[in-house]
Amino acid sequence: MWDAIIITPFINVILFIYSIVGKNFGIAIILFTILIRLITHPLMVKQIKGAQGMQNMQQDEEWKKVQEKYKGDKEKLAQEQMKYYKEKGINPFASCLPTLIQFPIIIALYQSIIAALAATPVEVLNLVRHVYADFLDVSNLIPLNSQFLWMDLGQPERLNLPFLSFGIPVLAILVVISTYVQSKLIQPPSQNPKDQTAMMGNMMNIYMPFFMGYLALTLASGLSLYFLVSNLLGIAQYAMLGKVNWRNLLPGTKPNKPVAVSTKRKK
Amino acid sequence: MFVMLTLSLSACSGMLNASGWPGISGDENSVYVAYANQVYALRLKDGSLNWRYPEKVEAARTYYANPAINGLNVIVGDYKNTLSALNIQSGTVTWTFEGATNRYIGGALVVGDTILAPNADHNLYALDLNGNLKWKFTAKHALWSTPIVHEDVVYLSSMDHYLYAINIKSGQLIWELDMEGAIVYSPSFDTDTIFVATLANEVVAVNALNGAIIWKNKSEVGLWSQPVYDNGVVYYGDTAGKIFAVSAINGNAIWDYMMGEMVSGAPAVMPDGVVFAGENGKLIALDFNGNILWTRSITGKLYTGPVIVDGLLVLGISQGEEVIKAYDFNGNEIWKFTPEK
Repeated sequence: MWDAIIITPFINVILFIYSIVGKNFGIAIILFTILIRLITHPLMVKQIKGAQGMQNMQQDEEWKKVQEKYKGDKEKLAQEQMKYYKEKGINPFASCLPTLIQFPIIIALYQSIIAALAATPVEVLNLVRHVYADFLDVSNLIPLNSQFLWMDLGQPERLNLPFLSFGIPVLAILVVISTYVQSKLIQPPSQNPKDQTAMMGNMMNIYMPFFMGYLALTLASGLSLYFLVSNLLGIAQYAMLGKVNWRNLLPGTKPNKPVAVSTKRKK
Repeated sequence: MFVMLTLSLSACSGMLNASGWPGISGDENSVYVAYANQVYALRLKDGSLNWRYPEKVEAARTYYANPAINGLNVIVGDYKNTLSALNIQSGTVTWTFEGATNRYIGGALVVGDTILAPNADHNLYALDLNGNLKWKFTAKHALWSTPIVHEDVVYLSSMDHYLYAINIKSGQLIWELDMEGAIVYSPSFDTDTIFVATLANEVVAVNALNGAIIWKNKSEVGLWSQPVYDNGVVYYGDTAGKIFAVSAINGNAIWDYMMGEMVSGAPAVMPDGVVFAGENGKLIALDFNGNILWTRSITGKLYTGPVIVDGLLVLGISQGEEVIKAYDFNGNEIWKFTPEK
């Protein structure tokens, strides 16, 4: 079911792109990632707006007073919270629903890239079974050209220079840097330095780039390329929406506070 | 979301692991099996383990290429770019060849004093019996199948759609032929004719002397099997499960049989018939007129046909309870082998 509805169409689209860009799998991965990001962009906008609304609520003096007033009565606080949502026009699911919809799409993107990078006979057999025979010509597509710049996209990437006895994992380094930069740039502001969410976010900002870097170091470089492009597009999308705090990149700088709290009363 | 995504990605990363089917070869004493992280030497009489290599597995190093045998050594390539010669008695490493830059998917072949080792880095490496490079031939894309040799000519099929004829002494190209489809399996040979199945869904007979096409049979569905020649007849099967016996001279149909599941790998020719393997575990023996001799059902996937080793049909199984099962020519199970975990 998952294969038939999601993975197979994705594979056919990526192979179609591959066939029209001169059989360059690297370009196909980049274009396919851009395409999926564009399709899911409206969902991302909704998610960011929803998250912003919830963030603004936490900083709203009116809500703080309500929290203080009913701190001993959880049931009443919950009722007041629902009332507040209604008054301010906040949908508490506005941030998580688009995320839930995006999530399987991103997983499918990842899985379809893996499937399309078939580098062994069993993988090619599986790939052939996913291709719509009326849409794409298997005999013309296979073998897939997995060379992109200096990389074999089906293998972990290393750049070998004549004066070095070891290969440099350029993509893995770029994935670490871009993951770190992205997480810092989109890190939400927190007024309370002891806020557990903020502390967890800071921890993730440190560990996640290394984890992604490890994956990029050991997995096929086609996936590393996807990680890198995805990170760069994520930064670009946040920047277009004005949600990037470039100052967060400066050492010792705490995440920016929001410029203004703009929760309008529903009339 | 990022955490969830990352965890999912790491969980999915198993999909990237090299995957294949057991590579099998043997002699009058032993069966040699390359599968997953180890190479096994099994006693032919009962399938018991003689030795395995390496003793301590290395997660990223996997073996699927058919081992080659030269009397002293078992020569096997791995998915980490290394070709190893293992002492046939003890399984200890005699030498290694590290000159390739990609996986060994197709098995090596020993001809006289030359080892021919195809690699996914597009090169066919010719080594002497000590593992020293004699020459290499570069194809246009990955080499996944074992070459065949006849009278000092190497016939090499490639994923690049080409069939090559190469001089075994010098590595020089004699002729090449565009088959219009990638070739996963090895060719088969009869006097002066080569038979090849391609991913363009064709079985093609080629003149071995000059590379001219003699005949080609187009299949309506995919072909994931190796055509095998015997006594004037070429046997192969398609992904819809149909088995074909065609004339080696002109490709005309002699008989066909509907097996019902994808026919995988090369059929094995016995004294009184031919055995075909189906992807979903069906093993069927037909006589030379297409009548059923016997069938067996195996738990697991069969991506390769049975290999005949000194009167036994040795079957490699993927995703099953056992990795190897051995049958006599009447379909009686003689022994089975499951590696220790």
